[in-house]
Amino acid sequence: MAKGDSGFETEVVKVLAALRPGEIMTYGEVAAEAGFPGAARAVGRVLRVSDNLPWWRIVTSTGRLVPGLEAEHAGLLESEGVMVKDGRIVN
Amino acid sequence: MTVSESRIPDTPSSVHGVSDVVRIGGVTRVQRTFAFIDVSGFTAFTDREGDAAAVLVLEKIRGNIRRLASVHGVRIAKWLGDGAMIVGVEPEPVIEAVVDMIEANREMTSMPLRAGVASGDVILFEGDDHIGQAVNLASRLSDLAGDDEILAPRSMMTSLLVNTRAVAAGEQHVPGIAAPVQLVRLESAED
Repeated sequence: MAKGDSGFETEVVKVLAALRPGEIMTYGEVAAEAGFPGAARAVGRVLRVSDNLPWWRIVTSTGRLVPGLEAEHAGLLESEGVMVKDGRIVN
Repeated sequence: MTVSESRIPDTPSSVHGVSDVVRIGGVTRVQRTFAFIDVSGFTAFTDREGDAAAVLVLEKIRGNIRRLASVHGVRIAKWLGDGAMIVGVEPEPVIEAVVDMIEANREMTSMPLRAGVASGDVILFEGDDHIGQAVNLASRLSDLAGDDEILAPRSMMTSLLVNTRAVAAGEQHVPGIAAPVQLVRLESAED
């Protein structure tokens, strides 16, 4: 889990919780918005260990969905009006 | 980065999230993951650009490493001139931190980093030092790594890495280590 005394997890959760249905961000964008540019994988770690966060609204910088969860991920995105093709979001 | 040479088996004991502290024969052993990360070509850069320019670059690189170590919950055990020794209890945060450090550094400076990662049982020595094969192996792999490259023994790979993949790098002879080691190259899985 991303931890330490930096407030990272708190700030990341704030960014994630503010996302509305259909809004998509990349891991890197969440890190930067939270005030920690470059910490993309630490965002993924927060998502992995936390409940009740909209993990499906976060994709990689190339739009790729979560490996192994592509079908579930695509279903959740499409239910919010986001188009998905071949395991990636369509801009 | 110099460390004592020792014989390291092909498959050092991996940790995979276990943080047991074990006392064997009067010494305390702990399971840890280590990363050695340093600036590739720093000596040549200093020679070419001068000490002052080198310090400016190093300040930026250290700041980047310090900031990302903190958010990933791993510890900088030592600064080593143009590098650092990073320690974590679990392998995933250490690996992900190093991948983030190299990616962020690529955007911030023109000086590439390189790193080696390894896990295993080590002796906790005088409170805050670590002695063991995993430390030696991580250091040696850092020396072997190319620009922006992270090398690790294949045996420590887990399926729990975030946006990070391991690409087979073959069996290599690591200086100071008797048996060849099966290696992987760790890299971003963003694409």
